[in-house]
Amino acid sequence: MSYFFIENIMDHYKNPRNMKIINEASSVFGDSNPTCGDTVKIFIKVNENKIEDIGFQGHGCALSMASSSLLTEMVKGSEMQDALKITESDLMRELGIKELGPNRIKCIALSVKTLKMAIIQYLSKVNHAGGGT
Amino acid sequence: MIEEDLDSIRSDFPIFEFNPKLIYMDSAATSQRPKNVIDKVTEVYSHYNSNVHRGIYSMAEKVTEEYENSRKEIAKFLGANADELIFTKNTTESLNLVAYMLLPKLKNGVITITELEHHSNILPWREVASLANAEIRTVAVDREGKIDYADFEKKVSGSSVLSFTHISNVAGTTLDAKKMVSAAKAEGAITVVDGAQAAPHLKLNLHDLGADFYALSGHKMLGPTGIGILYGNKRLLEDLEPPFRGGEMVTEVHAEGQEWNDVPLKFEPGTPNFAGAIGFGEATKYLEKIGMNDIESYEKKLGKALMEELTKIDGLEYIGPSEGRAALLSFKLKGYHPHDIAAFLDTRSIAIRSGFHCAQPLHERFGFFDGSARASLYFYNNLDEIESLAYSLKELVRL
Repeated sequence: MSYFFIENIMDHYKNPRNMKIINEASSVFGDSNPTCGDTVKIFIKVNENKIEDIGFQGHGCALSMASSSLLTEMVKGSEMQDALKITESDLMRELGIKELGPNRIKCIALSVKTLKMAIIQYLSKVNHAGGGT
Repeated sequence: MIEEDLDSIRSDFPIFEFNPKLIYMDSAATSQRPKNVIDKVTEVYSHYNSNVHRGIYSMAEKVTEEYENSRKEIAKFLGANADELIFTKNTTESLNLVAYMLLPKLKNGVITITELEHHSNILPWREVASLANAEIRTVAVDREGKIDYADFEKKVSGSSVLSFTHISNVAGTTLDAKKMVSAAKAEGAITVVDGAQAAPHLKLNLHDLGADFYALSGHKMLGPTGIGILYGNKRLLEDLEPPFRGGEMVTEVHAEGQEWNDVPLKFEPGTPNFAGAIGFGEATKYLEKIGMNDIESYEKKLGKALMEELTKIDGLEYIGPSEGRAALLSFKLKGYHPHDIAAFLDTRSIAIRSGFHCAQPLHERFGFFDGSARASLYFYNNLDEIESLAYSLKELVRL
């Protein structure tokens, strides 16, 4: 079935969750898919290794926006180490998509990759600061 | 007449038999292939597969003869001579090849292109420009995606090379190639025309056009993938050095020194895609049979209908001229990402392209920052399919 007719996807696309800027974010990372112009920026607020709050901004196709929205729901409140383990397949399962061609998987991969980079950026900042004192 | 014969024409294409519901509107990316082309490629591999221009046994002679006959066939189709055609992989390789061939002539020179170019006619020039310390000038287009001729005249003045697309793969504009070529030649510039989107749709006569180089792809005009052409003016081809070297392009190699083979073989190092080349010859025979003049006039009708039907849809914006366009339309629909448009149409068995179509600067020029959805037609499409496309887009808007 095309993703167009999967209610979960269209719901997240039309009513995105956590679509917000977090001013006091611990880490912010933005990325884009140069082949289609999709952009995603993820804000995370970390407290004791947990993603206490998360927000995203961006624009793109239904698939990239719905997956970004769902991903923020999946990781909110979870340990950073667990969030780092989330793969494109996990997100596809949650979205209710059985298979996706190699050209479209990139639409889902964007948010997964961006979240990972936001976390890694946070961790390296903390480690670096830790090493310096 | 194509319109009356369309059922029989479509039955020549196995894909429509395998997939009867398919409405294929992505021919600017790659065309479908008729059975005679597919059969010819199979024939090469199953009847006389051996390397060209090497062996002296009968099969090797046969394949060489087929390869060179195909070159003659394509030359006749293009209004050129066989020894002016270099077999390449595709238009992109042709444009890269000519850019590197011209590199020694470009030191501190000026390369002029236009805003309509796709990446293949931008990036090779950027590379040689940086190697030769040359300047790149870009001719502006107006709001309808047509060449601004005042700007063209200004920019072409003093150019060493002018390289431009004959038909834009995004805007659907057909450029006045003859006028541009002769203006550039009057300035002493070498002229290169990217014919990827024109060769499949227009009756060409390269000698009459007068460009020094003309690049095209076989796979956009019924031929196999992985085969293209770089046409070059014979005198220039003889004069220029081959940028790529290896077997077949030399006659003698000694411990020191070598002799280049004659043109065009001088520019075809290594084993070529001979099955593709032979299949491409077969494709041009098929196009000749249908008739390029008929194709051109039928596609004008398709282009007009496409424009009329799609512009009735609320919130649809397009790139390119309102009249006299090629049978393709790049558009966006308010509230829908191009990928979503293509994915929805896919559920209706309509295949269109979404994205930047390898021409991002052009999309940005027109404010299409998410790319566009593009329906591109060929002579095997019909008016009913355009209606189905319009119907499905209206369905999407209502969803």
